[in-house]
Amino acid sequence: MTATVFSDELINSTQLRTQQKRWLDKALIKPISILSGEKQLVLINRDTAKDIFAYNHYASMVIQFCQEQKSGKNNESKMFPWIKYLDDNETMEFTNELLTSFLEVVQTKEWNTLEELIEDWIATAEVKSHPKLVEALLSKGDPAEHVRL
Amino acid sequence: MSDSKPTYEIVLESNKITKSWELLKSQFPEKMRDCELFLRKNPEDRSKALGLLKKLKGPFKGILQYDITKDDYRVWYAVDKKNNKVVIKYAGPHPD
Repeated sequence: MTATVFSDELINSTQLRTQQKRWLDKALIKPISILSGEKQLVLINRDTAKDIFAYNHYASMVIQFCQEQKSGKNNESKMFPWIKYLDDNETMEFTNELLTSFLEVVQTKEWNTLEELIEDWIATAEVKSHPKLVEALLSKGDPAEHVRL
Repeated sequence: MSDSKPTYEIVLESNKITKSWELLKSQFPEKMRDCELFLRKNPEDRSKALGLLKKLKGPFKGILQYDITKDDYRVWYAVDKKNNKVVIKYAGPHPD
């Protein structure tokens, strides 16, 4: 299955040497594997490579976190240690948003949105670790007391 | 920045924040100038403050955090779109 999904074209080093431009142009569109004896290299569009790396990175992260959650210790995580500051509902909300966002970015490839989501939750957990700050941020405030700059 | 965008007025939620706001301005004058400009023009637009803006979650939904420095100095605020105001709720390092 990996070979099918990868859908590369196989060439040898002599073919690459004699028709370099042709193979480099082709590699922009789909991976070109170069076989030289036991050695195998691949030429791949950098954006495609970036997506493969990002997918691998975030998929590992999400799966590990889900495994941790499955173990039943909702507010403990090696992947996201800061969730200890979240309550059960917030942990659930984070988990749902993480999974939803991951599924979306697999399609859109906008990996930064996943990173932003995690950063937003880290900031939230940081705030929760400071009770005085929580109190200040949750206070309703009175517009009559507003101070204009 | 488009001129057609509304400009927000920045207000401190109460007089309790005045001291810490002024302290931040004296400690980080350039960064606070950038922060004020951002709050007046684009208080919710991440693309105008790359890596500096966080949108809080859970019970703090609607509150935003602007990082003045990489370490501990922050500004937390809410955007009142109806009245075109940015309300500063807390400014400074995390309280101990």
